[in-house]
Amino acid sequence: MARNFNTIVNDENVQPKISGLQKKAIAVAVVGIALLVVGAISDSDQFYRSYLLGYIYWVIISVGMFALYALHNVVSGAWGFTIRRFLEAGVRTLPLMLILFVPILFGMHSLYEWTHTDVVAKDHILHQKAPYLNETFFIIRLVFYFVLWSGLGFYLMKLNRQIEENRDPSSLGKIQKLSAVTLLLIILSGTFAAVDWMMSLEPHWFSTIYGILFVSGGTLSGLALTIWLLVKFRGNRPLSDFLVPRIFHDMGTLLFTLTMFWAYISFSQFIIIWSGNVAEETPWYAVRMANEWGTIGWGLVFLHFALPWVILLSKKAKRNPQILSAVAIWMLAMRFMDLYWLIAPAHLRSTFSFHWLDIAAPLAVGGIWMAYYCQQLQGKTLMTVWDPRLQDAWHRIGNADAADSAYFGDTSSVKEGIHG
Amino acid sequence: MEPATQPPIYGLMAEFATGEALLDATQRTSKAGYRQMDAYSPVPVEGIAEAIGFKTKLPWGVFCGGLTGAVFGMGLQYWASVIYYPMNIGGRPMFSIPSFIPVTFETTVLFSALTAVFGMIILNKLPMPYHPVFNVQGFDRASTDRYFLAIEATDPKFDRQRTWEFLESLKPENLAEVPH
Repeated sequence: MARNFNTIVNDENVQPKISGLQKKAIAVAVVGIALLVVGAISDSDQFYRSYLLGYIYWVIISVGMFALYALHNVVSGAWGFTIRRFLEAGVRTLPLMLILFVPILFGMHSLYEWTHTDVVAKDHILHQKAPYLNETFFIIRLVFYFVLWSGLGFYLMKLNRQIEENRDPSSLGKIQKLSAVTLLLIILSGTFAAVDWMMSLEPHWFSTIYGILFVSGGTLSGLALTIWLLVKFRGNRPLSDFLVPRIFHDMGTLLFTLTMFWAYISFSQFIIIWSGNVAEETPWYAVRMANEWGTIGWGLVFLHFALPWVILLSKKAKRNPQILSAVAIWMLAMRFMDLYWLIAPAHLRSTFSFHWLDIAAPLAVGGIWMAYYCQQLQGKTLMTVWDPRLQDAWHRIGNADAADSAYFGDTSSVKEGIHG
Repeated sequence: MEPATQPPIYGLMAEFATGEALLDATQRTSKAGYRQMDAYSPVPVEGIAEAIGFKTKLPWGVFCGGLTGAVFGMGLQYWASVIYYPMNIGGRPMFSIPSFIPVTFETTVLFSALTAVFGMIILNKLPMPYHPVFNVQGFDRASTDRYFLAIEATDPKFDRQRTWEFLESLKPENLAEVPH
């Protein structure tokens, strides 16, 4: 009595209602870009700093969604099928993010100390680092990251689409293997990207764990946004038929895990530098632990880690889409706070300040990102319904969920026929 | 046979060939209003704990164990480094919280894990040298390839005759009385 997956595609080919979100995103993008233009004319240095912050905030979401997509291809749990479309649209934003990097290229001289030849000539360490940290190689690497990510991402999506369209599961093994390699490559290339874009803002400082911090933070951002979208569009068929409480439970558990992982990596970097207490590493934290920066740092411990961690301990919270979505939105706000704390002190040093452009830039980049993202989401159902692994995954989760729901009393969300 | 002449039993036990059959049967038993039941399976069956209405306070115990571990770990280091043997290391304060975090984390995990293991053993009333379910012929297969559901006689809805008929309607591979 298993659900007939094939008929859903035919009689429920409902277009998701995404245009509302897209219109809002376009409006935000227009206002944001107008503000950025004003900012760029009045204070170009501040514009570049804020733009970098806004850009990083969104590019790690694209990379994070790509990482989650690769993870889904490797493990193929039921949760992954419900968010696959959202992740695929995220992967498709990667080429856009290469284009959106262009303003930073114009601002390199303003952002990165190592682009000043006179400074490098006088500074022995920067001189030693010059074969890596120079503008030409920076741009070559930049293009390389995006070619690598987009290439792997689009190829994996092509293979998955072929499975869906031809109903031919023969390349499943290939997808799984390639995705495992992709995960590894994302972490390696993400490390280099993090060094290039963020760590080299303070070119004397180094931390080998920084790349993992960048990738894990990005995956957390990507998952939080995905959860928000999933809850927002949970009414669309056929997606709605599959969104049993167990799925939200799994998403919540993953969010919980990534929150912990982020905290673990952040603290690891801190404890190593704090214990070592050597002159070339500690200034980075000395700046970030004093005055208002220190307050934000402590805020991260309690608001980015402890609060969502405690909320997500509860099984009931994870199974409630509204609570889960609220935690995801909170997470997205905290990701901004974390990135501000990581990036802004590079230029501001120990004087804390917050410019209105720091809000306008993430909104502008985010508006463009979201408008483009919605475009990628259009034209298909919000759920993959033909995949040889789906039915199997569903059979297991369906059974378990029927029991869960009888226990929790939220039977209304369990659709008939999912569990055989 | 008159009911009064029958010796009291522990309950009735149905045997199933697959975990899915067991889960389905358990859900239907729960829906029929039975509460005092237990499922026996050689492998974990996802959802079975919820289906038999298994509730436990153990998570709260583990949480308290973890808190105790955290306080113990931090307290131990505070006592050692600040009170008992204060030592200046690299000019750091005596009470250097960052360096105390790893140990505090470890003791939190240790105490949580120990509470979970020993809490489980105690709540399961282990070790238990005798249990009536082993009186059923073929029950030893519960640790290899068979799945069992027992409705216990202590259930208010339990009736030797009607419960037997109910379990029969679930189409088990085998059905047996569990003597004390």
